[in-house]
Amino acid sequence: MGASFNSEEWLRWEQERLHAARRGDRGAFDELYRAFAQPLFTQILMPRLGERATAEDVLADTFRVLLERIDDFHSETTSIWFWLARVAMNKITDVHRSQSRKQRALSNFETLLEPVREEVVSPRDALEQAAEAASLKANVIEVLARIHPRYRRVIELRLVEERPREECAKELDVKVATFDVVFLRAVRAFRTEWEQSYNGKGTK
Amino acid sequence: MAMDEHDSKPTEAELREAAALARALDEGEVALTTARELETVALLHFAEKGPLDAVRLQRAQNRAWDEAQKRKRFVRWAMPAFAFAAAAAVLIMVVGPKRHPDITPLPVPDTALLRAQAAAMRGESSALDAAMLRYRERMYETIRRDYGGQR
Repeated sequence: MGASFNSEEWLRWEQERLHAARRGDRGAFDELYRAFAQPLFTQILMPRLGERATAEDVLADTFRVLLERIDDFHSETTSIWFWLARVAMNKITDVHRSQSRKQRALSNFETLLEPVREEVVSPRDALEQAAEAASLKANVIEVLARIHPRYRRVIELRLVEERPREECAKELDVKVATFDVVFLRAVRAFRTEWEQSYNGKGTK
Repeated sequence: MAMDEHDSKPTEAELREAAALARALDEGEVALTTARELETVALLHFAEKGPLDAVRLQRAQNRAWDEAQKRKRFVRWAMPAFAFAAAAAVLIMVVGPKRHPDITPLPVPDTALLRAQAAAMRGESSALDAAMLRYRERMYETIRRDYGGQR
């Protein structure tokens, strides 16, 4: 575990970059972005929006707000991570509100993710998001291995290989409506197994 | 690992939910009945795709930067324009066309007139004409005094 987001060393690093970014230094902004964009995407945005394109839009908008209000952020004792996370959360609320007005669904799977997720508290955590995502994938593969092979195959066809329903149905030699039902049951079987496996935070 | 019900005949409700889930995934349609399944699908998708790839990450960064610069340029241009417009508005208020002189308030009807009007409402109109005449005299006198008009 590296230094905490509130450690002197990290805060000094942040302050230097913020100071340079205020003067219009794109390189300093790039460094801040590299430190915080991926954790914001994986820890805050994706679990609450469930859709990559929307999460990407909100990510860009959150950093746009940072650039516009960079002069207003002067805390020397708190990392900008917490400010960014709050801006992102507000934007998520706006997106959910606007999507519900348009009768569009966005999925919040934060509760499912919580038991297997470690909180981002340090810069090193933030920079190791790829490793964490890989570990989530390993969790999923482990749970998939415990459901019926036919269900596993259905999930792979639809969500990993992203094949159209008609093609999936053809592959399984069933009607499309039957495929839909098997897919629904497969997803439910996965969820049941997932919840049974991770019923306490970080415990299996 | 149980065989579950994967080969059993679907119920009507299951058929409806399966179709709703398919529509939600293919068309983004709201499907409240399958919200839990949509959450699960989102988790599976996220686990499969992982973090944002380098190209999309860079794209979001460029958008943030470009959009912020665009807005800053707009503010730099718009602020002086708004300030100029506000200053012009204040100037017009201060040195613009003079306001009309205050309109002379007409005399307030006296109690005699009000009583006469009330009596007229009850059908006893004898005093109204005289009271109205006195009121008109006072009104014309006020107008003549302030505006110099003729009766």
